[in-house]
Formats: sequence, structure tokens, C-alpha cells
Amino acid sequence: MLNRPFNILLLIVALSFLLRFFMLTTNPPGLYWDEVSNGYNAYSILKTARDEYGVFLPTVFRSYDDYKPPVYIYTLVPSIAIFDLGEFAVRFPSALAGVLTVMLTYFLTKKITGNYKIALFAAFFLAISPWHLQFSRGGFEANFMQFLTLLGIILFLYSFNKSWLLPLSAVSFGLALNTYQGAKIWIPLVLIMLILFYKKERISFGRKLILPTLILILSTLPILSNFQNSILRGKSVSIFSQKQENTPELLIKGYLNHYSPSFLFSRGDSIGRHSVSGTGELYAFELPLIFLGLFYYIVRQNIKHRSLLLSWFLLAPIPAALSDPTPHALRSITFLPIWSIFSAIGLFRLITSEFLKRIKPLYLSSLFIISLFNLVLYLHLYYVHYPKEKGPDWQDGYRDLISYVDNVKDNYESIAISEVLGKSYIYTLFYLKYDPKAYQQNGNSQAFDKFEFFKYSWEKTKPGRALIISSSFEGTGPKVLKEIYNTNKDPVFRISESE
Amino acid sequence: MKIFLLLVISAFIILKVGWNVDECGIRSSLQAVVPVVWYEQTIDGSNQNPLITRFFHNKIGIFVSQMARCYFNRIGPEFIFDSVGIFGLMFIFYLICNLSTKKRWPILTVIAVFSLLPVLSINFPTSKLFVDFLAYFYKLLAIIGLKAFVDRR
Repeated sequence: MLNRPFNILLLIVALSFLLRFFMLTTNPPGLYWDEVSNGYNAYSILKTARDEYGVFLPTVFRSYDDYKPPVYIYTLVPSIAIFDLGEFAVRFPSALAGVLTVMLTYFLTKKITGNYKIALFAAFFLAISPWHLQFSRGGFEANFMQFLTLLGIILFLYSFNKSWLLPLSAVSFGLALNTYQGAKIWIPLVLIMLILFYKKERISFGRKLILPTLILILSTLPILSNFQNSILRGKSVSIFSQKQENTPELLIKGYLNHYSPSFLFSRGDSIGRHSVSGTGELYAFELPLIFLGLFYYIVRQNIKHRSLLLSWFLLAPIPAALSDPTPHALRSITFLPIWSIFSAIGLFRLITSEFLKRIKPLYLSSLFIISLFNLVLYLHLYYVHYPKEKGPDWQDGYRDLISYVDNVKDNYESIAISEVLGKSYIYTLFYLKYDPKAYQQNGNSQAFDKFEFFKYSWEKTKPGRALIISSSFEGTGPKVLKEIYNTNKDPVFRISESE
Repeated sequence: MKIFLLLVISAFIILKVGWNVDECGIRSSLQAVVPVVWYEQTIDGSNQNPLITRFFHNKIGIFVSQMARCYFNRIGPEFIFDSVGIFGLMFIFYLICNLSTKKRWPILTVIAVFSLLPVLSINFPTSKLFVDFLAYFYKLLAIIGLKAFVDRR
């Protein structure tokens, strides 16, 4: 018979499922180019076992010469096999990982605090978290990485009583390491935390540590075997590569501004894909709860797993602080679900404390009203404002464009598409579901089949009719056929033809 | 040796400069209300129920959120770091933890209220004065925190 906490957890998971899957294909509006690249490369693997460049089962995906880690792309393969190549298939693994992360948060918090009520609160706060929702609803590798990291930590903590879970924990960390660029810094930090703070347990494992260690070493092989390319992306965004004055001060400020109340509760991340305008990464009502929860953990010395929680809290922004710009909500997704756990602890302390007992119903009901308003406002901003405001950040318009091109392409000898809005070739491949084998053999990012991709200007080289697609602010061919609009009804592309 | 360290670190704290003096208070928040309301109502669109639009995008709510943003800028770690440096920031944090542990809520309330001063200004010369005053207040807190740390048992 299911007990009450489990029933409540099921309801929370159901809520998190609804919030992550509702209108998943249309909000965020459009697929941004990393999602499209991941999707098409996974499609290419599915059809040919090779990536877009013809490399057989790569351990690093070249993509846009940023050499993406492989795990998330490989999780897209079964998703695309089941749901066909499209927005849903590309976002499904991340959304599912988001739901599972909510469930894992319950088990982690229960293990850390020993209190199922705090665990339920933490799972609920993560289920509705703007920060987590934003990245669960896009095909973000970082979200999947954090799910695997959390799984690794939980398996590790539970392995103290069931040692057979230890190799599984290592597998999880190994997969996380190969899921996202920032994991190359984050996973080693997590492992150091676990090694340092669980010395007794580590010693008691004895020889059982051999297999997990081997698994972790093996998991570094994809990175080490392609080392120069694997660190390319990191070098491009690192503050140390940018030859700026006063790098130490940049590093400190980059670290500190991830704790900025402005970033967390008011302004959010300035990058359009990373947060909703008008809200922070967390809800305003969480501010006093986090303060209470954090205060409780800093002040009380003898709480189990205190060191893990506090050091996680202090180390989480390091991968983001080493890069530019900051604060960066995606690179600091490593924080989750710590903020939710502190909020939960704070709420529990508030409910159970004797402080101002007489007016407790008043301040708890005020908190409830404010939190309800925060949540409803966020949902309004996310579902009404966000798709209209942030279309350009998500390359909104490409789907309609390529759909139109697909209908008329047989009427033209050549089709030229501007790259000014970025990576048109991959959108063309993706939405046409172009045969990967044909592309690998005869195509490249400048041209394939009758398609040509240009920046700023295009010169007709083939005889016959040409379809020319430019952005709405560029010049056009002599005869304009159609304009493509985004969700906010702003023109994005202009389609013209030339004889 | 203790006194020497105390003096050196205090000098670092006192001599640190470079905090942001941009105006952010009542005047700038009021100025932001009309364009923000217009922008958000435009995004909502004419098809949206006016009650819903007014409920979510009202002048009071926008004014309060702008003021909160200004306040967060002044209590945020970047401003404190710019005012007192990394050592000063650590000792302010130590002081606040110390005061919280000893449940010195009135003192903490005073600190929180002082940080409101630049936000409550109504013109630029006054706001700059209050921002500078706040920066020096943080320097004082940092030195008190440093002394408390040095004297701890």
C-alpha cells in the first residue's frame, strides 16, 4: 500500500511532468542552433552510425568546430527513433531528465536531512523552479549532466549500506563527465568533495573502490584521446584566454555575482535563452526561506552531510566563474538543487519554529499568497511573454521557412539561404530530414544538393531559377515572394526569386 | 604580529575604490514605470483580458520590483566587493554570521536599513552621496568583522 509521502511525491512528479512537457515543441519558440546540431547529428548516427562529417560513432562531435561531448547526442538517438526528427524528440531527453531530477531531489534531501517533509518541499521547489524549468524545456546538455551528477551523488551516498551501488555511481559520474563541456571542471570538484568528506566510508570500501576507479579512468578516455579539441570550447570562453586586464578580479567578481540577489531574485541571466525577463532565477518568496535554511546550516555544527551541502554551495559557481560572461545561469546549473534544498529547510524551520507563534498563521498565509502570485506571474511571463520576446534567441522562423522551401524546392535549380542569422545549413538539413549519407558524401556547411549558404551577398553561379532567402534586414532578389514571421509577428526572412 | 596584520588588512579595506555610483532609487524607479508598463502591456497584446494585464503589469508592482532591484544592487556581493575588497567581504560575512549566531537582530536590522539609504534617494547628487556613505559603512563593518575574527577565542 502506497504511503502518504510517496503519494505526495507522485503528485509533485506529475506537476513537474506537466510543467516540463506542456507546449514543449512551441515554447521555447524555435530550436536554437545547438539543439538542431545535436538533433541532426543524432539522426545521422541513427541512419548511418556516423556524424555529419562521416566519423563513425564519434566520442566527440565536431559540430560547429566546438567538439561537443557525446552523451546527450547519443541519448537523442532513441528519442528520434521513437518520435521522429523534430522539436519534441530533441527536447524529450532533457525534459525527462528534468522530471527525474525532481524525483532525485527528494531522495537526496531525505538522505541529507533525514526528514521526508523537507524532502517533499525541496522536490516541490525544484519542480516549479524557473531556473530548472528554463533548462528542462530546452535541449540543454548541462541539464542532463546535472541529472547524472545528482544520480551519481545519491548512488554514492546510498552505497554506504549497499556497496554494489558504488560502480553505478561511477558510471553516472563518468557519463556526466562526457555530457557537457563544463563537466570537465565540475565532476572533478564533486569527486574531490565526496573523497574529502566521506573518508571513513571510503576507507571501509577497501578493494571495492577498484572497479569504480577503473570506470572513472575509462570515462576520461574520450576526452584524453581528443584532448586538444575537447578543451577548445573551454579555451574560447575562458577568462584566462581573453588577455584581459585584471583577470584575478574578473574571476572573483565572476564567482561572486552568481550569489547576487539581483541575478537570483530580480534580473536573472541577461542571455535570452537562459531566463525570462521580469523574473530572477529563483522566486522572490524564496529569499527569506533560503536565508533561514542557509543560516541553520552555517550555524549548526553537528548536522550530517553539512560539509557536503555547504561545499557544494560554495563550489557550484566555479565552472561558470572561469568563463565569460557572468553570471551565467546555464554554466551554474551546478547549483541545482541546492537552492531548493535550502528553501525547503527554511520553510520547515519557519513552520516548526516557536518564533512569533501568535502571528504564525498570518505570516505563513502571507508567504503562501506571495508565492502563489510569484508562480502565476512566472507562468504568465513564460507562456505569454517569452515566446514573443525571445524568438530571435531561439532562431524562431526557421521551421516555417524550411517548411515553405520544402514545398517549392522542385521549382528551382538553386536555393540560396543567408547565414546572417546563423547556421542555416544545419536548419535546412534538420527540417528537411536530409539524407545523412548523401550529405556526408557530397555536402558541407557551404553547400549541398541545390542549396547554397551565404553571408552578406550571393552570386548566382548555376543557370536556371534561383530561390533566395535573406534576413528581413538584408537586400533581396528582384521578385519578393513571401515573408516569414516569428511568434511575435516580426519579419525574420524574406524569400525572393531570380530567373 | 596580530596588530600588524590587522593594520595591513584594514588598509586594504579602506583604500579599496571603484564601487558603482550609478543612480538607482526612487527617481529612476519612477522613470522606469511608464515604459515598462507600456512594453509589457504591448507584449500581452490587445487580445489579453485587461484585468489580467493590469493584475500582472501594474505600476505599483513594477515600481516595487525596480526598487527591489536597486536594493539588491547595493547589498549584492559585487558592490560589497567593490567597496571593501575580498578580505573585507569575507570579514563582513563573518560579522553577519557572528551576529546571526548571537541573535543580534536589532544590529542586523540596522545594517539592512542602512543599505536602503541610496535606494531612497530622489536625485543624483544625493544618491551618489548615499552610495559613498554606504561604501564607507561597509568598510567600517569589514574592519569590525576583522577585529571580531582576530579576537575570537
